[in-house]
Amino acid sequence: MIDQPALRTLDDAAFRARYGCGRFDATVLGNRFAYILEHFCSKLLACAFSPVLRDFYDFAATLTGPPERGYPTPVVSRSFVAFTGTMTESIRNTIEEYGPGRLEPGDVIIANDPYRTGTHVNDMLFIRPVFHGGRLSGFVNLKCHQLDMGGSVPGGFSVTKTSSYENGLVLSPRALMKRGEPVDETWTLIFDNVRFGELLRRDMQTIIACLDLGERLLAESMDRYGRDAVLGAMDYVCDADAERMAEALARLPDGDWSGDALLDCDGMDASEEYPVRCAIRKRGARIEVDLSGTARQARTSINGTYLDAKTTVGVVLKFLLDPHGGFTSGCYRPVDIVIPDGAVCSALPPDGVVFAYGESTNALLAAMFSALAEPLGTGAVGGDTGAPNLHSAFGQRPDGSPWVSIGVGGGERGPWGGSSAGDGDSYSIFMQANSIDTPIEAAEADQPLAIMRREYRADSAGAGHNRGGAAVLKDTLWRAPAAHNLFTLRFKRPTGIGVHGGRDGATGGVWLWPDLNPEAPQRARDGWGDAIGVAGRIDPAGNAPARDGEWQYFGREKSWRTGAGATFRYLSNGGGGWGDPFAREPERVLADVRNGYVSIAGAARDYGVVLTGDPDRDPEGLAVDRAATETLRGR
Amino acid sequence: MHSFPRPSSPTVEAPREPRPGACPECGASALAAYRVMSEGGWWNVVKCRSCLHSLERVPGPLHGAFTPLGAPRWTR
Amino acid sequence: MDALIGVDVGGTFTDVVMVKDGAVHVTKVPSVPARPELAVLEGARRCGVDGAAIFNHASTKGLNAILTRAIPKIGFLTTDGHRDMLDGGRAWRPWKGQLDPRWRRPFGDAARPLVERYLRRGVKERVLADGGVLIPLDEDQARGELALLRRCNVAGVAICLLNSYANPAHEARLAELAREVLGPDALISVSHRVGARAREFPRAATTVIDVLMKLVYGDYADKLSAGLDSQGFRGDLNFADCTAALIPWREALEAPHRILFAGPAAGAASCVALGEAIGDGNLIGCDVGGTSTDVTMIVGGQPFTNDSFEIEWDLVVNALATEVSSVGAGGGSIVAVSPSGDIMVGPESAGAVPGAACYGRGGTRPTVTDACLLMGILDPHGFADGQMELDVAAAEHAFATLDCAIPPAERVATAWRVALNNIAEEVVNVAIRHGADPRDFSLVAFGAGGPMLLAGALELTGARRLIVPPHPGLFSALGLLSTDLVFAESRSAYQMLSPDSAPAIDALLAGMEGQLRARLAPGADVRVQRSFDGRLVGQSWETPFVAIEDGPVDMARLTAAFHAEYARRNGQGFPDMPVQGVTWRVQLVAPSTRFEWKPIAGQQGAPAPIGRRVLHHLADEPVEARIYERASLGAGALVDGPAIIREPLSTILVIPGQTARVGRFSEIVIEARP
Repeated sequence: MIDQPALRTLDDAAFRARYGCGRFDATVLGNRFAYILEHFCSKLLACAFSPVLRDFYDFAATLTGPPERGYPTPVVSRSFVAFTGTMTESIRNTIEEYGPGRLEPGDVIIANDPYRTGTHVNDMLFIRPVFHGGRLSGFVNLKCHQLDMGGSVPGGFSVTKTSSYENGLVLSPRALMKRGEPVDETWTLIFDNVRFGELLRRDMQTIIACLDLGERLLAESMDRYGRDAVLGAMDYVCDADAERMAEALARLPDGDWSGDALLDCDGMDASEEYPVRCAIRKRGARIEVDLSGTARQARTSINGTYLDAKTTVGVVLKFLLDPHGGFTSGCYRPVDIVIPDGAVCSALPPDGVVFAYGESTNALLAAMFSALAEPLGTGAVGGDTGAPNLHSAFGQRPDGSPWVSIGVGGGERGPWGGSSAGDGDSYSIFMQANSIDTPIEAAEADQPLAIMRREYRADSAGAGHNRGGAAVLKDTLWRAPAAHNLFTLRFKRPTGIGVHGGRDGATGGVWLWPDLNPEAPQRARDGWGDAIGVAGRIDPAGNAPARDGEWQYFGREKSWRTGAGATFRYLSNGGGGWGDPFAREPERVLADVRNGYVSIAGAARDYGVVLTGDPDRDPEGLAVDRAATETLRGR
Repeated sequence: MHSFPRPSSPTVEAPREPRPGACPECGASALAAYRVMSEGGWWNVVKCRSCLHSLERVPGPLHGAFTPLGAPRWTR
Repeated sequence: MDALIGVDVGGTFTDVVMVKDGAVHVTKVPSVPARPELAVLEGARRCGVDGAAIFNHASTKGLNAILTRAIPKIGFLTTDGHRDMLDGGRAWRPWKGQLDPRWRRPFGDAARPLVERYLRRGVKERVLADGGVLIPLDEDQARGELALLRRCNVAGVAICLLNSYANPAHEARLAELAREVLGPDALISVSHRVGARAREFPRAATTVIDVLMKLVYGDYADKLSAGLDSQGFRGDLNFADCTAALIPWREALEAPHRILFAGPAAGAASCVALGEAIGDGNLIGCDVGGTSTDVTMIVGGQPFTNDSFEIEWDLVVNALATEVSSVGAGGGSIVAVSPSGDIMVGPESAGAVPGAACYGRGGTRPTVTDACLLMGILDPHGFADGQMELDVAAAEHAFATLDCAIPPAERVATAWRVALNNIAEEVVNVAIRHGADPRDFSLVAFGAGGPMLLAGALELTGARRLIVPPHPGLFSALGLLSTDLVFAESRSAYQMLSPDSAPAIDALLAGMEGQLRARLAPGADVRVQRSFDGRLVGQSWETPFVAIEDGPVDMARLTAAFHAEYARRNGQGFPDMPVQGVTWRVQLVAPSTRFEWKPIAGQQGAPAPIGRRVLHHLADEPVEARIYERASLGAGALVDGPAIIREPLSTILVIPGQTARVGRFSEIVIEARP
């Protein structure tokens, strides 16, 4: 573990002895690593075609040190956080299996097997070895979501797959490029097995150009500062991260805590639930996170692998203990993760099918946020929307050409929880992701849909001194016949867990109006009455979402087929509150009611604040009834 | 192994094998051998459950339980 | 020639440049944040505007109001069900927020919204992407929402309906209703007039900012105009837009989102003009201010222009803007120690107050300015034209109290190197981003801190030389006298670049040109510039500002121009892919009277230093630098480093191993001695 003198106490001689360069160069190089990634990621974004790549930011980049240093990862890109922890392992896994001795300048090594590289088969890992003075000196890496990798479902997003063999093309570590030249049989293997090959080919060419740029920039740094200094700087950045994590752990009280969260079901039927559990033990600067007690791997493709579990544990600790330091492989140094085999978050082939890896990782994040709330005290953070709630739709245009919509018509966006810093944002994305939202007008220009409503729902945020973000309600009108695939696995229990005295956010759901008359004027659907309750906890009388409503299973249709004119409504979960809601300043509750985040009844019930006035017609006329509030708040 | 049956129990546990002896750091008799994931990948460790001190840390297999069928270079 | 006056309002100072009879006069007036026009008028008074032809003004009043949220209450009307678009933005977070669970969108409801949610109202209507109407406008319901806004006494209204870029009819009618309900004096901005571009959030944000700017500027321009008038000014008052193009003041205030942030663009324009004079079209402008360094690239005599920019994270404004990159390294950047013991410089800044420790205004933390003082670069007695004394002991104490293992003697040197490195890193990164090699470029040093810092950064950037223009601290203001008047219109219309679309595109462009000409005097002497933003089919982002030749559009040439621009920006292209135009733009450019660089007299004899000073930390041992007055140096004068060249408002550093040569136009060119 860390038995070294604190880094800040090292004088220049001691620093040099340890890292092969001075402090100044190490700092410069640390920044340089981040810039190198930014450059080749910008290039990717500028040139990428795939909307999942370009808009959903479904990629990640890292720099890695060479095998002789243990493959340290000093820097990860600003993008899909969920990838980055897998990459600390998957580069090693891929190169060790391929054989580091076979690597040559100009190679690109690829792999996409979830059991070797994490996430799902669509996320292809591209690795370029960087040589200096004839020696293997590091790697520049991109992991990018490819629109399709073959298999039974176009695009791959489905929770009904029951074996790995349905996923499409699995690529063990192999060369895509050798000495700068394409390896033809790798390219043909890919394009003979995947859909949308033209688009993938262009993006893969762009990816290789990005790796060329990254390699050149890293090699130039080695030319300028020396190989030893660059590798020393990588070690320093990782060591600094490890030290910050250890110091943050040491500041927490020692103890044992546990937490759990739930995946409601799988894609086969509603007979089995999948809890994710964590037991955390902390002693001094050491922490152990044990996932024993977690459900076995699911029957359908909602599993994740041990690499995804590793990512989530690291990401959670960074979020809660070191939010401003960059993510490196060093953050795991004081952390041991105990992972049972064959769990929903550590699935094994062939039955532990992985596609929607985000489900179990979201549940693990919630379980850990919950477990750590107690030792964190005021540093606890409320839970988020908890799921991608991805909606895929497929159809055919009048001319027979297919259209696909992924990630636009669902509940992809939702709130974060409250914290000591303030209320949570309502319109965000589950915490392990970070991507640019597709504009409604861009989606509508390309796809046969109209988003009729996208706004926040009153009384859905977890109450608190600082409340969570509100749930997002989204109505999508589908203007052409389509087959819809849904997966919403986090509605049985709130994902927006309340912390430090705050309350849980509400749960959401999915509703369908299968209106088959596209000529009838469409109105934004007020109320819930005539819809089909597709998913979530729904009150049977009235069809509205309800905390103790009957839970509806989304997967009772494997694919929901609709005619033109159907509307799907998604309601996300609400964000978790932080702190005692009865301590929220009455003026802020008044502002919430005026702004429609909380109703008058909700203000009294959840915050103990009594307000007079009509928020809908006279928002500025609202007033706090101080006497009644004091009474309600028991003071 | 490259192919695994689905676990038959609804939840799964990570096995820990108790080991005799006292922890050199805290003196407790709570040693166990098990597998962990940490910086650098999988490790087979012997740790004190009481204070989390590691007595042994030996690199574990690259993918944990999973060994791809047909990979020719495995030495661990 | 009648005098030309350029005024650039900054956070601390309002810079005023007057060019009269070929001579340049400069003055700096302390800014008055609460009443910025006072500083502008004081600057005008010092110059004497009687007889001046032109008064070109870059103002930050609107920007500052928005950044500090010192804004009036306005309403936002949008399609029913979508009022939360202003809270959501593009729903992503920056690097520093990636793993921060407390990060919130700066303009979101949970932080500091521009328009509170209860003032964001939905109107029952719905237009589709093809312009078709799904739900007709419910005028009664709309009147009801407007009546509520009136009861709330909003000062203005921004209107942005979904897909209005494709069909503005509902927005136009809603604007009429707004005028009816709120009264004829109500300030209204309508998104399809502000800029009919697709993507609802940037368009809505721009519309909101536009009406806020109208309110914030309010009578500012009236006061300014009246004040200048009373000083005898009878010339043209223009505002600069975010590309530093000039707009007559009344016209500017019809769509003031365009004039949000002109200073950095003016700096780029000044670089272009200087480059034209000295025959160097490949420049990297480095404007080193108190808090940050703004870097702009000029390639082949042209800066890069983008079709939008962000005022703060994700708050996108659709306006043509010169591309400027900013790094948090400036003269006031604070020197601190990281948790693992490294010296860091910035991004936090000591600002104007308290400012550097040596300012004696209560600042206790060391800054880059303190380092420059302790190194000997700054003269404690001659700062700011002799108006300020700098406290050396305070600067020493600030460095001594840093908590780190680095010996105090080395901290100043390290801070210097880190600051230079941060600036150099940004310069190199800007170049790489554009596929350029800094070795092919000259740096231009300006701003308050540029001349004292950038010689030290030259080698790190790899640029071939450093150019310090005269009056480097007011170089941006001079840029306001280096551009033309521009009248612009743009509109989104998704059109494939195929022969079938040519008639529609011709009509669209002709329509916009006609609208612009109608605003000018008949027979006005203008150049027409047309361009479009397009995308490769399948991509969701556009490549902006592809030039369209005169005459009826030739699709083959247009397509080729797109592919060439795509490759120029991205370093690779896909010339076989079909192209779709998204936004179409017409600009009428009317030449403005400009500042012209004039050659200076040649140097007679060897340059005579006026003194000497010891400089520390520039070499292994302290070195003695000769000090010169810039005004005493003629064209051809050669000065070897280490040296300091002083002018009233700037200090230029030449480091050991460099030579400075005064150019034809009094610019100082610093290069490594061969």
